[in-house]
This record gives sequence, structure tokens and C-alpha cells, in this order.
Amino acid sequence: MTTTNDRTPVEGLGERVSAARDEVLGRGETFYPGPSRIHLAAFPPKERWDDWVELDSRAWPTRVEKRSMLVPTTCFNCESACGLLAYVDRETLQVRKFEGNPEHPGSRGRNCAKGPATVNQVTDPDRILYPMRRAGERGEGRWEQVDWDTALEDIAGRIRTAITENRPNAVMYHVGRPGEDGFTERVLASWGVDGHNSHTNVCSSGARSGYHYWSGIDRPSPDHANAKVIFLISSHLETGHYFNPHAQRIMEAKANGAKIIVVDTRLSNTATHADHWVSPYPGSEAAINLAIAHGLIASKRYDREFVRRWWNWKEYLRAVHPQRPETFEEFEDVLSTLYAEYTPEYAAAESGIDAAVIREITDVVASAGTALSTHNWRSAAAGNLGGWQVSRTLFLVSALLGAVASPGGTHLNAWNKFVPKPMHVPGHPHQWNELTWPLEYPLAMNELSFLLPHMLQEGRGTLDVYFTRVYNPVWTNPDGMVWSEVLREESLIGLHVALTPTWNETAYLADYVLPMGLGSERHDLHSYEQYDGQWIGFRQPVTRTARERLGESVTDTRQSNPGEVWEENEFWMELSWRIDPDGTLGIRKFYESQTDPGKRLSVDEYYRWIFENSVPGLPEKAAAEGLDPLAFMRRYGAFEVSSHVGQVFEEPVDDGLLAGAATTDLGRVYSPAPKPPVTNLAPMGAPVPDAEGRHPVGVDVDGEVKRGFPTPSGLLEFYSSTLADWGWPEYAVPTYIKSHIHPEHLAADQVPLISTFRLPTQIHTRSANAKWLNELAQTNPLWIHPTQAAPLGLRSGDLVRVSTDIGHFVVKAWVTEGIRPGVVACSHHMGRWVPKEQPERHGGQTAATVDLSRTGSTWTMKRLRGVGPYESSDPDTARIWWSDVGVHQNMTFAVHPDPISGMHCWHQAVRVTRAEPGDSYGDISVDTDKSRALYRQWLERTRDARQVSPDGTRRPYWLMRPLKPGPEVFRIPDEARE
Amino acid sequence: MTLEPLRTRTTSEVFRALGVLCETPHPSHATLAGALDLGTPPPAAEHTQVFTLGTVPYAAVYLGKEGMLGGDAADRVAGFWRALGYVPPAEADHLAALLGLLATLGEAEAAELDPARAALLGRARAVLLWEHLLTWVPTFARGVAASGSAFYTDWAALLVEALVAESATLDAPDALPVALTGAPGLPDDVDTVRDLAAALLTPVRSGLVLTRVELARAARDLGLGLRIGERSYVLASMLEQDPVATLAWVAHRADAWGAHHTRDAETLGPVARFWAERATTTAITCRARRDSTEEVLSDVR
Repeated sequence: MTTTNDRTPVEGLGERVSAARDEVLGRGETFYPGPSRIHLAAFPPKERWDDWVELDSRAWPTRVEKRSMLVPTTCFNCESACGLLAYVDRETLQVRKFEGNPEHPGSRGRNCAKGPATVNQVTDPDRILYPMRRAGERGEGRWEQVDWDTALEDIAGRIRTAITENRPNAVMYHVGRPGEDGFTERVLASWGVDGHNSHTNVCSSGARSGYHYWSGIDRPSPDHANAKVIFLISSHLETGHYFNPHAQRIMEAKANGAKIIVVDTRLSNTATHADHWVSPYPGSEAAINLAIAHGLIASKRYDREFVRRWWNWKEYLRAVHPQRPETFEEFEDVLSTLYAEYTPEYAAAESGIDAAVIREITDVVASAGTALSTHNWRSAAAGNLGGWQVSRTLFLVSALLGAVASPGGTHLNAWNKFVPKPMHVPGHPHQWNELTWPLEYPLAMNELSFLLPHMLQEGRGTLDVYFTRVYNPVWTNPDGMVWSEVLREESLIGLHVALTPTWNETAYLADYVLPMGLGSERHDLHSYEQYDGQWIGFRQPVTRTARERLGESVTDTRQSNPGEVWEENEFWMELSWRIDPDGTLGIRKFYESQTDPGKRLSVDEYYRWIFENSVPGLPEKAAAEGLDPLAFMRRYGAFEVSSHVGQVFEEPVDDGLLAGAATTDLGRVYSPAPKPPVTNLAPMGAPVPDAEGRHPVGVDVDGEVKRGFPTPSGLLEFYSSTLADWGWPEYAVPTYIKSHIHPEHLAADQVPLISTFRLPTQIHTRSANAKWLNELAQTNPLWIHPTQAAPLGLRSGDLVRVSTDIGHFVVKAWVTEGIRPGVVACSHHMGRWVPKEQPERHGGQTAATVDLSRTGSTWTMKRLRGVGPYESSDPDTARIWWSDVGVHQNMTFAVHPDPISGMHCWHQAVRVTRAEPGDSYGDISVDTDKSRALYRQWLERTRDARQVSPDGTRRPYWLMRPLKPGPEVFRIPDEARE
Repeated sequence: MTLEPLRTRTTSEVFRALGVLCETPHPSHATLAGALDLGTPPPAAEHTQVFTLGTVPYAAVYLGKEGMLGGDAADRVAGFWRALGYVPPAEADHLAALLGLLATLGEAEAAELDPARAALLGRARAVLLWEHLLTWVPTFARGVAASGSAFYTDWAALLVEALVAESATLDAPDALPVALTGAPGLPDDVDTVRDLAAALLTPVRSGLVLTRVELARAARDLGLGLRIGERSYVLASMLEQDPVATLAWVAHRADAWGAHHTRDAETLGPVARFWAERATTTAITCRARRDSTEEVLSDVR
């Protein structure tokens, strides 16, 4: 045995190092630089974020020091909300660059190309710096600068008039990339307006539906990092939802030996990393999923105990097989035959994938056990009629294996997300907006946003004030020319306000263009499901925070932003304040300071209250560093609320809630006790109380009351009574719906066009003014297989005409074996344009100048010129070497609303021919009469609430809805029945 | 608590600190160097001279059959990380990563209450030490000492001292570590001077490390032109200019390395003997080539 006196010299040194470490850590400083310590991956230690010194590379070989303040914020380019660190020059207070924020639990210091490119957007010489008002006719291209007061008074006055004249539905807010979780929903609720309109039905509502019917929660949260098998129906390693945070965890799992299965018709970058790449005929993905489920069931490789405990099989038997005993063995017997037709051979016939391959991936999936992470978000769920069954059948595979919220399994977002409660929470609006929630779509997951112009043209309503907010529907949505028609019509839209950092195709048709801040110029609070934990990320105007660190007082973000660029929170607070100048409308109280009554709430007070009162653990963590919670968030930009959340549904319900509780014979437990206060506002389903008014608190599983899922049954709903009761009994269990582009529905000369895939370095309109990103990607050729190109005599670069149901576009071919034969594909993000009437600089680096003309219902677009070098304050614009900007294909797509989910079904049936004489690259032609005819055709697929509602309401109350009105307006009014 | 876990914890701190000091220079290194009695870290340029242009701190360079980064040797180290249940870092065979892992295992062992689990961690630590560190670090450290940097020479000496001290607390392997078993030696025959130079510059084949600085010094001392390029190009050009003198110089260096390795045998056993045998073989091979070359040249003359 040794004694302390026997210590070796090395041990003595170790004690000294330990003592030094304790001393440094005790000061809240970094002892070992990290977390990535080798070579160029190092991060500046956090105690040096106030004064970080680097050498100016441009001054080399002279050693010139650059001193920066490092201020965290959150990227605003895609939905991932990755952490950024802004390097703010201490002398000029300008942002030099953005790198990753190592303190962010989701992105962990890493970013994709779009994050650092924020600096391009900040310094874009063509960005909008001041409020602009149109000076001529809408779309004429004449603009004048106005001051914020003028714009605010005008807009507030119009909204006030609409509210006081009891026309609240004449106010609508249409959002592209959301900012703070729930913020604008609360603004609209405070106005008493049901005017929230999201982009979600052109994005993810198909996948959301599938998850929501199962679990009452509309987003998956796969624990990729700990998975043994990762099953992706997407391209998550390049562009999928939460691309960077998920991609880094997928690669971790791969490095640990996980197998990756990628189902993607294209050879995406993700597919190149797969152990199993499956390239099916588009729309057949659900058939493949069901064949896998069939394989698991037939070979009894599913988790019997999980299925027995957590599926609502008893409710299913009672509803569908009432003659059978309600035993699990009976259910297994039914299950063994229910999917018997979905053999690998059936799936092979539908998908074109060899049955042996489907058997092989079934075995791989089965080998994962509860460590199977699965994900589908857009992709097939966004492309096809019935696409919502893709995510639903994918979750069926997870639910069969018990891989739900297990380590390495698929969790649910409401449990991996934290939305703190703010100071003021307005109640539900007592209005129902039928322009966004029409009776034909009682089960739509989100607003029927992309049908808005058709509904306005049909005379279903008009809008007094219409906000498009970081959104460009003319370009992003299908039927862009119908949007264009409606936005030009002042009798349909009285005032169009575009809140945007950049000029875009929709902003050209606005009355006001109001400059909104980029990711480093605005406040937002975010939380997203990116692993099995909960975090909040704080977006902040970095130059404002930098000035405050230097002792300045900033009370309005415009004081520190470029030009008169504003942030949205202050904008909405100020607008609301002006709508209700004397408080008589009951709006002003939601924006009033608590510390300084009578004054408008400041963003500092707003966030200070949240961080001090609503985020568990944050005050303590901040105090440990001698900071208050707001200062902590301004310093680090993120906070992890919890980790390893696990299977929340297995948690027991508090005894206090069970006193006097009633349990139905299906196990649902209702409590008469008051609802406990909610600390996490993450959205989820809201199962309704029972007939006695008791609220659902859990579900009885084997004699124990567990929290369960936020579904009507409290269980995972293999069988959806909602779908059965609301007119779709044939889809009450997960099944396969043949797509609108199924071979049975195509003419002999038609092929499917996949138009949904994205480029890793672009993001819709928002990346338009990022020069680095534009240099990386400028075009979107049509992917076509050699066997398809040969009969047409096509080579890469040849022009082709792609004809849709309503028109055509002319694009270059790219002959590649990276696409399945018989399918063509063209990427999103490209084909930006600016009408020749607009000021020349509005096109900037990315938009072709076009001649847009109309003859009757036919719109024609001819490209006059692409982009090219030009002089500006940024010398790089004189170095633009490319002229191509791609082709705007979405304009030639008619609306395809799924009758259940409401999702626009993006895939198109097209004819691909050689370009005709007179065709030029980028030509587009669209007949909007045909658009309207197709809109009506798809409307006929619906089952109207007036015919199918089981209880006289417009929509199942328990389903999620971004802005939920009061229950009384769910009832279908008598006049609507006539 | 027994004193053994305490000892492991404090030595772990030394290994982590030593590892960090061979990473990219950073202001916090001053504190670390002070705690280790190493004085003030030199400017970043010296770090570059030693670790980027001189003796690069990656296991693969010393254990791989090409004497370069990556390859089977690096994969073998990454596999060890995976076997322990860790995700291998981007540079799994970097000295700092390996010393950090040694520290982490030591701390985990010290904190482990279950004797069986602690024994497993101790075993993992022994394998890491004998298989992935002591197989190459003494050779690497001697190369650092030849760099002329006082700070990093002291650092390297402390590193070897600490590793050897640690090895005394862990079971030594009975046989040669796998990393050295089957490692190829100098090829019997080479087609070109470049191939010969590449083999001589591959430590696991030749048993010695010839740094860029040493090559430059030798070229000067031998009166040869120093061609600018990678080390194999430099050495090859020296062999082309004056093969007899250059081979004699390499043989002389191999003698010195062999003597060093032989002295290490007392503490490092079969590992040191392996390296000594390689160096001795190199000396013999070079002299034989020198002699045959001399004969050929005299015939020509």
C-alpha cells in the first residue's frame, strides 16, 4: 500500500494540475479548451467571448490583430434553429463572421453552409433597409420609402377598423419560416382573430397527419445517435428536417456500426451513405412499409408486450370485429391476416423493388429491436395523394417493434421540446376563418393555405389586411399565377403587407414591404426535437447585445440594426399597442409592462419574465455563474432543460389526480380534479373531457394508471376512431393509398415528376441574398435516366419541355443513372425571377429578369436575361461568373390538396418532350382556367363536415390546430348548412 | 477510499494535460504548462516546426507500414475506441486523443465501485497503454528531442516518464503487442531510390525517425545539395547525389537509435527490443548497400 508520502513525481504533478483545474473552473472559466481540441476545430473559450483576438488573414504577412465580441444567436435560414456565434468587431460593431455555438445542445457547435452564410445576408448590398410603400399600381414596380410611423398607423388603423366592424376574419397572417414558438399565434389571439395561415400544407402536414393519428403528437423525434438501424424515407443527411443536428447524430450512429436504410427514388447524397438504398416508384413507399410490417407480424418478430400494453387493439376489436372476444390473442389473430396481402411480392409489384431486397431490409429492421429510429417528414408524404399514410405506416413499423421513445427509437416531439409560458397568454379567439379551415377539409392538419387564392376568386371572402411574413407564395406555392392574379386584385385583398428581409416575387405585389431582421437581427425563442432532450435556443440581435456589453442602453432593436430593419417581436408589440390605443378593445393589456404599468412591454422585460419564471433550472444555472437568467441566455444563447426524457407515456399519474377518477371500460381515466398548471406549452393533441366534464389524465395499463398518449384513447391509436367517425372508415387503420401518380392513373406518355427535393446549400427564398450559397448552386436541371433520354435523343444540357396539367416549362436535361428509370426529377430552390418592371437591383444575384404577360387566362413568362456581374458596395457582385438561375417549375403545378390531411400532393404527372421550335430556356406557360378546373376536381374528392361530422362540429376538437378557437365556434353554424 | 484510485485520478490529470499541450497552441496552455513545471510554452511557430513539420503526433505514422497518416494502423486505433463503446474522434490516433482516453479510463476506473467493472477498465487501460501508446511514443519522443525545441524536449521526456511510470502499475504483456507483430521490416529489394528512402523514413520498418531538420543538417555536413520537397524526396536526392556517404550517415543514425532502444529494454521489454532489432537491421542493411555501391563505383572508376 502506498501512502501520500510515497507519491511519485508524476502523481505530484497530477495534484498540481488538479489544483489548477479546480481554481480555473471555480472562476467559471475553461481549463481544457474544447470540445473539439485538435487543429482547426477549436472553439474560443467562453470566458474570452467578450474580447477575442484573431490575426487578420488579409493583412498577412503583417500581424494585425482583430478584436471581436462573440455573441450567440440562432440561425434563421432553415427550421433547425442551430446555434451561431457572431463575431462582432469591437471597433466597428459590425458582424465579421458567424461560426457555430458550442454551447447549443442541438447543433453542438456545428453548422451547415447556410449558417455562416448569414453574414452574406447581413451585408447584402441589395437588401431592404427601410420600409417601402408602392407608389404606383400594384406590381408596377414603383416604390417610395416611408417611415415606420406612417406604415404602422396605416396598418393598425385598418386592423382596428376590421375588428370594430366585426370583420376579424378580414385580417390574415401568412407565415413561411416561423419565428418564436407560438408568438404570432398569441398576437392574433389577442386581437380575437382566427387569421393564422401557415405554409405547412405545402410542407409537412402529410407526415404530421400520420404521426398525429397514432400518437396525438404531430412530429417524430428520432434518437438517431443511439439507433442500431436508421430507416429514412427522406434525404436527412443533406436537407431533411433538422438537417444539421440530425445528420451529425446519424453519422455518429453509423460510426458506431448502425445500419442505414434510405428510401429515396433519387440517388441523393444521403442514399450514397446508406447501407441499403431503396429506389422505389414514387408513391409506393407505404406499400413497402406495410410489407415490412407484414414480415414482422408473420414471423412474430414484433414486441408483443409493447403492442399489448400500448396499442388500442381492444377499441379496434370492439369497433371492427364486435363478434370477437376482446382478447389480445384474438387481436393477434386478426393482425396476422390484416396485412397478409402486403407481401414482399405485392410491394415489389407496386414499387419495382425486388421482393428479396424487401425481405432483406425487413430482416435488418427486425434486428434493431427497440433501437430502430425512423423518420419521414416531407419527401413521399409531401408528394402523394394519401402521402400521410407513408409516415403512418412507417410509425406502424416502429410501434410493432416497441421502438417508441426507447433509446435509439423514435420519440415524439412534444416530449423533446420545451416551450415556456410567457407573461401573457390570451384566450382562444371566438372566430372561425373558413378561408383557411373550410368545411370540406374537417381533418386537415393545417390551414388550406395554398387554396386561398382559389377561395378568394370563388367569392368565399375578402381580406382587408393580408400579411405575408418571410413567405413567398407566388414562387413557393403551386399555382403561382393564380396567386399573382389575386394579389393584384385590390377588391380581394385590400392591403398586402410583406414582412421580409429580401425582395421576392410576392413582395413585388405588396403595398408595404417592411424590412425584417435576419437571424442576427431579431429576438426569438426556439425549441426543437433533435435528440432525447429538451433545450431552448435564444435568437437575439447580436449588435444590440454587443452594444449592451459595452455599456450602452438599447431600447429598440432598430437602434442597432442596419438601416431601419426591425425585429418582429417589437413590431407586433408596437402594432398591437397602436391597434388599441386606449385599451378599449382589450388588446393593449397583453402588451403592457408589469414593472412599468401604462408603458408598452419591452423585449427585455418579456424575456426576463420567461427566463426567470418559466424555464426549470435556468435561474439556478445562471446563478451558478453569477448571472441573472436573461444575462445567461444573452451570453450563451441556449440552455438544456432536460435530457434522457424517455418514455413519458409510462410515467404514473399523480395520486392527487386520481381521487374520484373514473375509468372507462377501455381504460381511459378521467379526473374531476382541476387541471394541473402546464409548464411546457409544446403543442399536442387535446383529448376532450368526458360527459361529466372530467378531463382525461391517463390510461389504465395492467392496473396502473399511466400518463399515456394525448389521443382520445390515451393509447397509441392503431385504430383511429376519429377517421372512422369522420367519414373515412376505410382508412381507420394504417394502410396504403395509391397515389395520384400511380401508374394506373397515368397516360402512356406520362411519367412522374419529383419536384420536392432540396439542395443542401439553399433554402427557399431566404437564401436568395447569400452570395456564397448562390455561387455553390445556381441551376436545377431535369434528372432523366439514360434509358428514357435515349429514345428522345437527349444528352445532358439539351432543352426539354416538361408539360403539366396546366402548362409547361422549358429546362435543361441532365442524363443520369441517379434517378429511377421512368421517373424524372427537378429540384426546388431554383428559378427565381423578377419582372422587368421592377427596379433592376431587386433581382440581385439570383433572379432572372423576365417578361411576364397575360392573354386571357394564359400567362407566359419569357426570360430576358439571367444574372451577371454588377457594381455595388460589395466588390464580389462584380465577380459573378454565372448567368443561370434555374427554372421556376412550381408555377406550372395545379393545386392537389389531399382530401384528408390537406397536404398539397406535389408530385406531377408530366410529359417530357424535346423543346419545340421557339422554346427558350426558362420559358413558362400556364393557363389559370385549367388551374381552377383542377382545383374543383380535387375539391370533389373531399368529404364535407356537413355530411360526415358525427356531432355537428366542423372538426374533431382534440386534433391539433396552430391557433385554436374557442369550442363554441367549432359547431357548424346553421347558415352554413343551408 | 483507498489511495490507488486517488493515484489513478491524479496521474490521469497529468496525461490529459500532456495531451492538450501537443494540440494547437492556445492561451490556456500556459496554465497547464505551469502546473507541469514545463515553463512557458513557446510561440505557435515552434509548435508547427515540431509537430507539423517534424514529428507528427499520430500513431499511424510510427506503426503504419507506409509511415503516413491514416491507413490500417489508424483504423486499428479507431477500432479500439469502438470496442470500448466510444465513438472514435475524427483523429482517433492523435496523441492528445489517446492520452485523453487514457485519462478518461483512469478516472472511470477510479470512480467505479464495482470491483469487476473496475478491473475491466484497468484492463482496457493496460491495453491502451501497451498496445497503442508505448509501442510508438518513446520513438516519437526521441524524434521530438531531436527537434531542438527545449520546451517540447522537456515535454516529451515528461511524457515518456509518466507513461513508463504508469506501465509499472499495470500488467505488462507477455508477448509483443499486436501493433508490432507482423509489422513489415525493410524490404529485401527495392526498385528505386525513392522506394528505399520511403522505407527508411517509415519508423516501424527502419526503427528510426529522420526528421526534416536532421536531413537538412546531414545534407549540409555531407556537402550535398538540399532539394526542397517531402522528406522521401529529400533523402532520395541525397542518395542519388552521394549514395555511399548518405547510406553511411543513415547507418550511423541507426546505430544511435539502436543504442537508445536497447537502453529502453529494461523498462519496455519486448517493445524496445523490437525497435532495437529494427534499427540494427537498418544499420546492417545500409552498410551492406554502401559497401556494394562502393564496389560498383570503384569498378566504374
